[in-house]
Amino acid sequence: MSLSNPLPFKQRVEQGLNDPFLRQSLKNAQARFREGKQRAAQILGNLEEWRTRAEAIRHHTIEHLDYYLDQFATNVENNGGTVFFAETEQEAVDYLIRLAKAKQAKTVIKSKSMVSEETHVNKRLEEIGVEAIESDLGEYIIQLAKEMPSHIIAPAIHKNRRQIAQLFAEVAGKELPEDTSALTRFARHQLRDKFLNADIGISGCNFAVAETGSIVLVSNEGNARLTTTLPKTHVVMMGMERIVPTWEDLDAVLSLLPRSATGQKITSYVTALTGPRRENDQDGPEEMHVIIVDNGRSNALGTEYQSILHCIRCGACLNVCPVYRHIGGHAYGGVYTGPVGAVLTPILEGFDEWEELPYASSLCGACTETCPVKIPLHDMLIDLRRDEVDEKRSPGVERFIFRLFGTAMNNPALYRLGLKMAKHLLKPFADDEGFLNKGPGPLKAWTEERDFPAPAKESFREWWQRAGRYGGDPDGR
Amino acid sequence: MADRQAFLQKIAHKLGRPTPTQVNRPRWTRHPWDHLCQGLTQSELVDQFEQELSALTGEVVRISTLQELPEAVSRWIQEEGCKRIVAWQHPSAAGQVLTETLNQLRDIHTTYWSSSAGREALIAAAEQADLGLVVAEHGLAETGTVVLYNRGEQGRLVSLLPTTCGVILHGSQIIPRLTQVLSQFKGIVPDYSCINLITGPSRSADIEMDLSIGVHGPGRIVVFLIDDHLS
Repeated sequence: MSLSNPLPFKQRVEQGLNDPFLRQSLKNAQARFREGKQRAAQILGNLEEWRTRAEAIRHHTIEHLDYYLDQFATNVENNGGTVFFAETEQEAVDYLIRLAKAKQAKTVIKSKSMVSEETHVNKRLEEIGVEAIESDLGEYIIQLAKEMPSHIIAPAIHKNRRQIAQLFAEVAGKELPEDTSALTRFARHQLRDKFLNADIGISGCNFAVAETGSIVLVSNEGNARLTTTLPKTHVVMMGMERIVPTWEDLDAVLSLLPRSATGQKITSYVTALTGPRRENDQDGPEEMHVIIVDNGRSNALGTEYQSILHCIRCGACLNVCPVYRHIGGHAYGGVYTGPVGAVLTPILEGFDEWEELPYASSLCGACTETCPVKIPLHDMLIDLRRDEVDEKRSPGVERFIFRLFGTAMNNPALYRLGLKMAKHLLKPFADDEGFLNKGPGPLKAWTEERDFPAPAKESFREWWQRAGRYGGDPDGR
Repeated sequence: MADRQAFLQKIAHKLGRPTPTQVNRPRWTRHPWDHLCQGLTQSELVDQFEQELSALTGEVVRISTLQELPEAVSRWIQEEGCKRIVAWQHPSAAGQVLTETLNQLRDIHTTYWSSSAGREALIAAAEQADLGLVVAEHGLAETGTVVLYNRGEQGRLVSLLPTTCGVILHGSQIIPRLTQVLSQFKGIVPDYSCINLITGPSRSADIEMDLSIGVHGPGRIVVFLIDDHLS
């Protein structure tokens, strides 16, 4: 994957940290989403039971993914749809390009699809002269800004009203008022025409139901409905894990998705699509193509990371993450941001471009605690760090120091010597309160971000030898 | 190009077993949703539906019987100044009453969604309509949702393109929640290429988290709720 923001990780983080609007809006959004989720949980009254059930359903589904995909694909075909299995990004997009050419498509309208972001569909369509238009208001904004989503459910959260008005003004060729309803009206008017004239509609897939071969889409705006109704060809791009066995299973995950995301009990629109339009139907697409995408997801199967495929893309982990709050979505560099992105992106694409991501976490565990399908996100971040160390991706100096530390820990005499030396060596760097805020050598990176306590004048072992089990208090026996 | 068998076999290989020919689904003795909206009378379900939809700025017009539907719908249309209407032709009694009512309205242009009319003309009519009228199969008390089955004369765009979506719903068809409607879907979805659950108007909070109504779909939803559960 090529980054939309080509800067190195640390500079991306710097950018996020130095954007006061971004930080304030993330803080506000997190607070609102989090409160919404808490209220929704209170109303349910038994959230833990829901989470346990949803986790069990997701676990069962992923454990039998090949069976349910086969069942789903057979049912889609029986309903008159076409299924294509794409192992790679290239295969997925090539299929779409072939289809666009066969349909002589000039414009494609899209409703929100993370898989299409992942596979860079817009860029590839543009290369063959097909205009791809995002219809979700947030996605439309970031498309005009030539950026990636910075939040799974609020993609343009980093943009302020003035920036949005400027982006829309460029399209309109005139100034527009910086007013939400005026801007929304402009987008509605602009996009209506695109909907009515688009040759192909591309949607994502929130859930696919294996037992009937149906696609379930949730949206608040209704753009997913327009995308899947007006154009004569509908293409569904779905990650291969987006499946549930039955409609009953859907109940658990569909009820949890909006509650975990924004606190809504249900989104404005939930649409179940089963094949293309039927004989007597006047609206709906003539053809439905479902592209089932692996693109690295199978890397997680059979490993300790398998449950990352349980994710239902609610964004709840983003809404509680203190790191995300400070650095924003673009700092993560990939399509998926926040804790889920820090885990998923290196799994999908390997560590080469993403080795910093598992470190973009405070390991506070808030993400794990909030996840509606109980993915142990912060444990996975630790495991990924371990994998990086095993692959010798950590800095050479760090590896040397830990080797030294390991040797010293195994040898009491060396350990004692080390403690004594550290005390004397670090003394000149300590401030009046006994903290190092500008550490030497390997401590430099640590003390750039936070203080490090200087070794005590008397170590615990020295104190123990002197005072023993009476705690150093002559009267305390 | 990955073929289906190779794709599925790769998954099986990663999972360390052959592709199963049969799967035993876990059986649950109870569900986390069992306690929701249970034990409510039909009247309480209907009231909850009204409250939930109203909280989302949806409007509910209570009508005591089907016989009073024509007057209530006509009055609403006149008061709101609707000039162009697009409507389903639903086979139910309510659907027939609706068609008769609309046929009698003067100075108002109604287009009926029809499998014999031209697609482009229907889309244009829906796009220009002030009001799209549909008949719901169910209402969900927990969320204030209406459930629409789309096919043939029951076009998908009627509830989507006009500026207001009008829905006829019987109180007796209001059920507790999603659970009861999903349990029917296995048998129903093969007959309907599209089923819509609609809860309130089209909305977005994409501009600085500021709520905005009517982004793509209707900015208003009005439910003509026939209190047949009381009779």
